[in-house]
This record gives sequence, structure tokens and C-alpha cells, in this order.
Amino acid sequence: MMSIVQQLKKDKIAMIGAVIILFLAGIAILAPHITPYDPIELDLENRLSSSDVNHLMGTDNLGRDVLSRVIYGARISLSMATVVVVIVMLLGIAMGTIAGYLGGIIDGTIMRVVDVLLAFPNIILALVIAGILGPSLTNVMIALSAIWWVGYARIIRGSVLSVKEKEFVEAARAMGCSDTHIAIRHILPNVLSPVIVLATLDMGHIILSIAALSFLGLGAQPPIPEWGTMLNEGRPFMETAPHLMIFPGLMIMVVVLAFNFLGDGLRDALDPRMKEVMMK
Amino acid sequence: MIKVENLKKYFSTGMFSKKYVRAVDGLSFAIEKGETLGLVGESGCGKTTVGRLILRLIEPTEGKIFFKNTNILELNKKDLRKLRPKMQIIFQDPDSSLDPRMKIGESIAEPLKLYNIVSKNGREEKISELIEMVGLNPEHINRYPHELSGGQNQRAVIARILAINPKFIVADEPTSSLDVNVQAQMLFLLKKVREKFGLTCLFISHDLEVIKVMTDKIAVMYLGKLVEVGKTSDIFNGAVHPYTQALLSAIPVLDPEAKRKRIVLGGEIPNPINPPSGCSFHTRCPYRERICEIEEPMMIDIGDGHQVACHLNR
Repeated sequence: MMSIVQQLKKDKIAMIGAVIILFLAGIAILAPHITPYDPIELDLENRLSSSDVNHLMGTDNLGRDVLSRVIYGARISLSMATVVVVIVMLLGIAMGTIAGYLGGIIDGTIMRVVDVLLAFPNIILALVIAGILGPSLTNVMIALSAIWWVGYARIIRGSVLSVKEKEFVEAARAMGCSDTHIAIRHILPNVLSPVIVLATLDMGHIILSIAALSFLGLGAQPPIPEWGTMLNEGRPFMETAPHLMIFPGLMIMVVVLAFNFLGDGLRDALDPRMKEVMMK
Repeated sequence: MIKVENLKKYFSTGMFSKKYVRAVDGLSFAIEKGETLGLVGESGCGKTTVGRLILRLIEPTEGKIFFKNTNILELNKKDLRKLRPKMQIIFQDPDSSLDPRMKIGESIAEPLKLYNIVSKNGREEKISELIEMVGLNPEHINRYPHELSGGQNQRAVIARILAINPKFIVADEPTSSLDVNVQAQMLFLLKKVREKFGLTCLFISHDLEVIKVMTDKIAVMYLGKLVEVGKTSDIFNGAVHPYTQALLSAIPVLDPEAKRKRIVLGGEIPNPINPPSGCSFHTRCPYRERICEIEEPMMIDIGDGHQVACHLNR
């Protein structure tokens, strides 16, 4: 484990990504203490003012401070994406391990479900599910979790299939270990590293998807300061007050890039051969 | 101790018309307590499959396997698991026989924990004892398998197996992936622990030199069937089956001046999906006769437990 950290430290781009993520996580946690204004408090006298000393990123159509809203947005995006990633990881690992280890009809059933879900673009499926459940942040999280696990299930199943044939697993069976013991103690630890990489890369994708669904009006509802929602709210004023869209848009871009940088670096550090695995 | 009767394993292949690979086709043999039986044969003859079948790591198609009078094929999952620690296996590739995410010490501790062999406090002591017995250093306890050499890993595998005090061990080419000098040390170690623990062994190898040193009895396998069984000394001094003779003549001799008759077998080993009629060896046998192509020879005892399946020895 130590060598991975050391290798990551050498990778400058990955370190930039890590620093940005840590910084954003920091301001997200400290949001209530560092924001200059309340993110949802209206100030109708100062509507649509551009950047100045009082409002570093200006104010929106209802006079709310954009900087404060962007900082609170980091809080929402990061925490929601983390929850979704944890759920899909657990679901994907469980499904993938069960399918790969048990095989047979169970494997067939799970993998057909995976195939069907993979056949549709993620965002369209999420749109349908979120549309059916109704617009809200929770429903977006449910929708994304329900479809995103399939990638994990597939990668895990593939690794489980190959590890299962290794002689140390056979040795454990010969030793009299139970199936559960073998799956948890011997197989899982040997299949987790590609998943950690995938999860890091997916943090970015999920933040982007949440923002996209919110932009389309299915996710966070006003006045919640979510980046996608802010983009949507700023749209009518794009020509007169472009800062309403530029700052949230920039934040989305920076966060997604940062997670991609870190994910790529992690992948290279963990195993150079994994490039091939991830491409499949 | 171990008795195998008419053991068969057919692997099915082919998507549309089912065909069967007869990996193991009607094997019968017995191993007495404390005895080591060597299973010899060329690659692909089904040796490794036999080793795994005996431990029921794969399910046989047919047959009976007795371990001390219990037919292990009739046991349910729970009873089988209870019996498992008594029978262990050493694999060919030591580097993949240990969990790469577990330190050597953890790997050895696993069976100790599983069967609660020593109390928690005594565990470390027991591990050091085992490590020392197989000739590793205490510092190896905290290493990962990829940090050790193949020979060291194989020693760790042996330590792990000895931790649960088995009665019967299948050694599946335990030395064939090691350097020659390490091979010798490994054989020496295996001999030592075999004596110390009074183990019964099935020693699988294609290396007759190793077999000669390690075994009391030999079973020669060809295309999923036994062709000759007998005491190691009897077979090395007077092999009867043409296949065994050919195998023995292929052992390199150190003396370049030595004159010996080398029997070179023509052709490849036939495809086990479609084995030859009659005696399965007739396609390559230098002495074949009419009857060999038609009738399958039976195992006959030619005295002192020396059995051979060949028409030409009537």
C-alpha cells in the first residue's frame, strides 16, 4: 500500500487532482464558516451585479451571492456523489462476486440484467427513472445508483472468474474453508484494486450526471444551490450576466477534471497492466 | 488408507454435438498407510486430474474413492469439509498457491485459526516452529509471497499444510517449477516431513528420477488409464509394459560411454476425445499385434503386486 502512495506522489498530474479534491472537500466541510453570505438569502436591491469587492462572483437574479452558492454547491455535489459511489460499489461488488463465484443460472441472470442496463446510455436511463420517481435530489441519487452498479459488477465478475481458478483458492477449498470465507477472505481482496480506480474516475462522472439531471430540472430544486440547478437558473440571463453560468460551470469542470487526473494516476500506480482491463 | 475404484472423469466439450474428453478413464489403485505412490505419465495423460479428483476438488463422473473406509464421494458438503484437513495438496506452481494479499505468517495462521489448533497466544510460537521446520527464516513471516522465491514459497505452502496435521498428501509435481538445486532441497524436505508426520502420499510427476527417489510404488498412466503398477524397484529393474520401458529408456544417463537401448516412441499422444480402439497405446507401440487393435487388455498380476495391462505378457 505504501508504494502506491509513493508512486502517486511522483505523478504530478495526479497530485494536482488530489490537491484540488482535498481543497474542495475542505471548503465543502467548512462551508457554513467561510461563506460570506447565506446562499439562499435574497437581496433584491443587489440583483445581477457583476463581480466586485462585496460579491467576488457577483449576485444572481434574486440577489443571492454566487460565491456562497458555489461553495455550498461543492458540499452538495461531493457528498451526493460520494454516497452514490459507495452504494454502487457495494452493490456492484456484491453482485459481481455472487455472479462470478457461484456461476450457473445466478450468473446468467445477473449478467443479462447487466447487459440490458449497459445497452442504454446511463444518462437516458437515469432520466427515465428520475422522471418516473419525480424531481428531487434523493430520487436522482436512487436513479443513478440503480443503473451505475453494472459496470462494477462486470469488472468484479471478470476478476473473480480469473482469481477463482488460482491455486490458492483451490488450496483454501482443500483446507476446508467455507465458500463465504473463500469469497470474502481470498477472492475479494484480490479483485478490489480495479474497482477503487473505477470509483475515483466515476466520482467525476457522477457529479457531472447529477449536475446534468439538475440542469434538466429533475434533480435539486430551487433554491438549493446545486451547480446544475444554478446553471439552469442562470440560463435566461446568459447574455446580460454570464457570471451566473460561468462560475458553476467552471466548478463542475474543475471537479470532474480533478477526479479524472487522480483516477488515471491511481490506475497507473496500482497496476500498469490495468489499462487493458479498464479498456474492455 | 486410500483406495480408488474405477475412477472416471469425462469433461464434456463441443457446443452442438457433445463430446467427452476422457481425462481419467477407469482408474483403480490403493495406497497403504505410510506409503508413497508415484503417478507417472507424460503431459496431458490425466495425472493432475487424478490428484484433484482424490481430494474431490473436482467431482468425478464415476467411481469410488475410499479414505480409511469412508467413500468420500458419498459425503455431503458438511461432512466433506470436516474430512478436508486430513487430506491436503501441494501444487505445481508455488507462487500462485499462496494468497498474494496475505503475508506468509497470515497464510500459515489461517488453518490454525480455522480449526483452532492452538490457542490464540500459542499461535505465534506454532508459526515460528513450522517456519523453522520447513527451513525458512523468522523474517519471512512478515513477507508477501511475491517477495519470496519459488522455493521459499513452496516451503511456506508445506508449513501451511503441516499446520493442520494431515494424514494424506497429494504432491502434484511439487518440484517441477523449481531450479534443479532447489528441487533437491525440496525433495529432501518432503522426505523429512513425510517421515516425521508418517504421511501417506500420492506423488505426481513426469520426472522418473524424482519418482525413483521419492516413492515406494509406481503407477504408470497413459491416456487416462493405468498401464503398469508395481514396486518402484521392480519397475525400474524390470518394466513389462512397452510404454514404461520407453519412459525408462528416456532417463538421461550421466556416463556418455554407457551403451543403452533407447526406445523412441513415434507419433503424438492420441486425442483423448477419440481414444484408439483396443489398447490405447497400440498406435505408438513398437510391438503391437492384431489383438492390440481390437481388444482392450486387462490388468493382470504378474507376481508380487506387479500389475500390467498388456496383451503381450500372457
